[in-house]
Amino acid sequence: MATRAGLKFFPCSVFIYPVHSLFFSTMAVKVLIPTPLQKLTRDQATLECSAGSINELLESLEQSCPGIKARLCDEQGQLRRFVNFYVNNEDIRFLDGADTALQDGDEVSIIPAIAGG
Amino acid sequence: MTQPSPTILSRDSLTTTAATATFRALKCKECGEEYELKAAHVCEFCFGPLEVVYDLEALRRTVSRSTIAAGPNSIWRYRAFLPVATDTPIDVGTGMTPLLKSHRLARRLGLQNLYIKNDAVNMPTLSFKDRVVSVALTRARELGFTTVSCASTGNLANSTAAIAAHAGLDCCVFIPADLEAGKVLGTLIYAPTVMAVQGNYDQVNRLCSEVANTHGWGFVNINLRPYYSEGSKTLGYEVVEQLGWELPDHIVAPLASGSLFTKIYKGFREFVEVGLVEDKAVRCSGAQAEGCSPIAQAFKDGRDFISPVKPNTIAKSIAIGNPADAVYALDIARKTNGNIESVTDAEIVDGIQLLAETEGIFTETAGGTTIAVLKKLVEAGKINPDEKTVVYITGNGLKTQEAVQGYVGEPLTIEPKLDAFERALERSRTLDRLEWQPVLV
Repeated sequence: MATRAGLKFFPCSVFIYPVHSLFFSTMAVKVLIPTPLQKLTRDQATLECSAGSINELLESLEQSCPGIKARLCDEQGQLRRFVNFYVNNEDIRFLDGADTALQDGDEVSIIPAIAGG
Repeated sequence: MTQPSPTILSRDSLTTTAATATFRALKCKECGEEYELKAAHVCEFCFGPLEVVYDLEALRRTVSRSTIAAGPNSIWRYRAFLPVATDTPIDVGTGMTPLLKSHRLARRLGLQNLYIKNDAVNMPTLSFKDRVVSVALTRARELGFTTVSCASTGNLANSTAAIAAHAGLDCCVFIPADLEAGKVLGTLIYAPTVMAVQGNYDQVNRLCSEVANTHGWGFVNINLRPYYSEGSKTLGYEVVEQLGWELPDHIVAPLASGSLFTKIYKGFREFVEVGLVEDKAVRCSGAQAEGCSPIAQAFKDGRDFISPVKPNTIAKSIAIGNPADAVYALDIARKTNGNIESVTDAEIVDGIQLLAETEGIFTETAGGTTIAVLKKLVEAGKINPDEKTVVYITGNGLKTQEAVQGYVGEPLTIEPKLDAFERALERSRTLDRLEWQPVLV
């Protein structure tokens, strides 16, 4: 079985906390990484990061995996229209979008919008 | 099920006749980045969808109406326009379904030139999905996959399981747990692994994307999607050929992800570009169920993006609340001067009955949606009665009997006596069908 699903504790969760996380509470969340981004995550399909919202998660991911934010956001910093984010199985467009708050233990799934049908 | 092979062969290593292949790359529809012909469905840079690129010059040189006509009586007569390299694709008789000139439905609607493309009798599993799956599994085999999979609203699971069985591929399909019984049984019979997910189709789809990240399986509508979706082009090619090498004026097709709709259009354009048919404007109109109509809503609001919805409709086969190709379907409907409309569940049932009673075709809820939208567009004056209009019926009603249960009445049960028959006949002539009693007469 060619599984690469083993949960990895990426350095970001230990060493590279976003600066603002020193002042605000941040949550340890599990992030599922889609195949097209796994080159940037050293072939890891799952990461653990600390963030209090999706916006913070993007910053946290960028610090641990440089270049990943540009793949997920357009030039204006908005989430790309062909990327969907889910928090605990719910599409963030049904929640608060990129401002959706994250709790300790949440699972964030990043999924290319183009699938199915 | 055996363990899936993670091995993906490069195109160069194929032992099939790659030299005759007319497709040369995958290309991002958004940013134009090109990729080798591997199992991948989105751009690594912008997440835009990847689409197969063909050598149209080679197609112009090698394909003609007569080479197509000399091909098999299946979708593989258009093999040069499909993304497979082999000369021996998986051919289970898929495609070349009837294009019927409608008389009784047309008269009922006040149309002069209505045609019905009837994929309710497509082979082997009675929906258009056999087209896309035949292509996807042929390509999966070429790429070295031994296990195939899909996220399905039912028809795709039927088709993937059946054609995988025929091809000797291992199969694991994912469906929403609340699917119609006929679609579940119609999958289980082929002995795949079936995962009934407690959630709607969009949740099934998300789960499959996560599984695809970690398992080396060929998901027909995820990592094989660029190849798979090309199979729907054959619904465009066949209509052109069956109309006597002519484009229709207007098509009406169901919209779920939007893929089918965009690929029918692409099929028309390719035939024009290689010189197989004379160009003319084709209006493309789409049909959705009101209980899951994110594309129709965006069309109405003048938006070029959709807001996802939580589906709530009997039309489960097209209940995709977060449709992948919505932006492209919207673009095509607008630029061809078409429309996208939605209808209620009650109108969908009426549509199923109308098609059955006027044309003898029993379609499922997607077909009911399409017929109901056709009727709505006619009543709104949005279809010219003289337009050569083709309506696409994409699935079979025997799979979704629950949808019409309670609307078609019961048989008149009679004793085996002539006078019982006469009494029953009288009752059938004087009472509405739904007032017949399911008791002895």
